[in-house]
Amino acid sequence: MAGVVAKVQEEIRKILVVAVFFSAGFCLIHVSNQLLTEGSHVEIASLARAIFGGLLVAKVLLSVNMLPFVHPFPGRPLLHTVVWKSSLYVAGCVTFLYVEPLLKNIFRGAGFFASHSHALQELMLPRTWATVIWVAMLLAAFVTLEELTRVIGKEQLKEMIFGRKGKLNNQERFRDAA
Amino acid sequence: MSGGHGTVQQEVGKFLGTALFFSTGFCLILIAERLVTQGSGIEIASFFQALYGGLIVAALLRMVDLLPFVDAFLGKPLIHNIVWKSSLYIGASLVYRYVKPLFKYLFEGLSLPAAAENALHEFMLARRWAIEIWVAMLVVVYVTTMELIRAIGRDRLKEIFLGPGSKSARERYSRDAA
Repeated sequence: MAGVVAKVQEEIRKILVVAVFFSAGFCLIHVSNQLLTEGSHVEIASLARAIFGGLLVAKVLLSVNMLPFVHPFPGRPLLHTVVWKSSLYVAGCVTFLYVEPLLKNIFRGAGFFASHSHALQELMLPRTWATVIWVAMLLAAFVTLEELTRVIGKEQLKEMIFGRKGKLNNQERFRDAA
Repeated sequence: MSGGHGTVQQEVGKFLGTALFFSTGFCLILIAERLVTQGSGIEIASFFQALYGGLIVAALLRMVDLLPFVDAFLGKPLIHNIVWKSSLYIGASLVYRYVKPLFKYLFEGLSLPAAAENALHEFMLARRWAIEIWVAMLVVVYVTTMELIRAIGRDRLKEIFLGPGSKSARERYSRDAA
């Protein structure tokens, strides 16, 4: 039972980290777009959608991570995995951008073909492709950092960036005292 | 002489690497901005300006690197240097954004107060701040990458990403063997 709780806790922590990373990125993009289009009639997504978008990307990433072929290059240089995983995640996001309006319209009672046509139209909007470019940029940075953390080790990378602090330091103090 | 030649080559390599990073980033941002503002009549920079912008940022960064206090936190956790250097670089880009139009107006024959007022007006344009957000995001990614390269080692990182078949790794192996 404790193992299950720990696993759930770990999964929630993973979702939150990914969501915070992408929400922060989307919020900055949102502010930049607001400034860029100030005084014009261009419609920009709200800040709430930017935050929610981060959660959606986190969900898509964790769903893609469940696929059996997400790590097909163990022991190979990281570049293979970075390119592969980034492509998979971007494809996952594009699929989501198509499937979400498709299902929404089907549940609203529109026929399959009408829903498909509407979803395709939304997918082909220039604004959607701008979003895909931003998602791809953030994903490339995220996957590179994630893979580097996996190879170097989370604790070592934390120590490198933030120094010896907190838990590790306390553990060492206790060990030294004993 | 060959040492001096090597240093110049290294500096040119660093400059080109930085320029390539920022020019690529600016081009991707430009495409996304064009897609967002399509049909609205908002004026967006050209691809040439994006490429040229990358060169200017690279030149600015190399100039800031010449300051004696740029590596003020050597031996400390990387986060100190990342925050410090990012702030310095962003500060320099802000100064450049103000000084460039100031000199332009001065050379056009305006008095100093009039040139300063016009430069300040350009500095406060919303679109300029949108660009500044992008510059700041790219600078943070750039500085983090550079600091990680410094801490982990360029050859080791190349080996991690490109494998032992990469040129630098091969050179290292042949050096070790000798």
